Amino acid sequence: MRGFTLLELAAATLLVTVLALVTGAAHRATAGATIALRDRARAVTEVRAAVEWLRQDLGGARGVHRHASETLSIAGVGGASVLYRRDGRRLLREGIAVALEIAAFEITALPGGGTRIGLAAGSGDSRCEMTLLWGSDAP
Amino acid sequence: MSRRSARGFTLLEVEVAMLVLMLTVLMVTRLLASHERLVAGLARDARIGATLHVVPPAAPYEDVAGVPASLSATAVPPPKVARPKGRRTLTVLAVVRTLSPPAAAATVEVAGP
Repeated sequence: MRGFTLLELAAATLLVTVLALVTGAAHRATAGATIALRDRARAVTEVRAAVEWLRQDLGGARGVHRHASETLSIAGVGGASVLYRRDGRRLLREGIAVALEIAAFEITALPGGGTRIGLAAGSGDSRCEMTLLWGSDAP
Repeated sequence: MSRRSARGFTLLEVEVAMLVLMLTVLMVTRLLASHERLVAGLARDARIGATLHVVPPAAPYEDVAGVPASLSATAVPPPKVARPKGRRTLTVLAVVRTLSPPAAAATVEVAGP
């Protein structure tokens, strides 16, 4: 039994190292795409959650008022109103968080009397933006 | 050391080993390609930005009842909701609630002008 020579061991080690590097690179590429997709899905989920709450409150809205660039008041039936505002990355509805990773919540009054509500979550390629136009036919 | 282990591999053994290796590489490649297709499809489906118009409910009393507004990709003129003049009284006759699916329905009687 002579065992392996140093050359054979070196060649085998080199081969295994190359194989491990190639596998690692392939896994990194695959995992990167999956992580990017996860981030994008999270951003879309955050924005959709906020939009669903807004949609519910805007259904019976008698008026929408901009208090500040990131504070929105929706006047409902009977004079009751609902206040939305951004606190850090959270979107609060009457003080209760309805979305946790909101990057932007911008309220703009439109010339025709309408209101533009801009929502965004995520960053970079995963950033999801949605704009709601209320009470205006302007694009 | 036996004579067999000292002589190395036969051509058949090497070919079988190469075949197994090729099949493994082929399967891994197909798996990666399938994963890429899946990820690309999901990324394409996830809309990343949109501008939508809020359309209030059009039917009478739907806004009062808390029906959510609809969203439209195109501008929709505000619906002309025919609201009767004068005071009306709504009497809730029955409420049916279900857990699965979570829902509630009410039967109401509208009285007035």
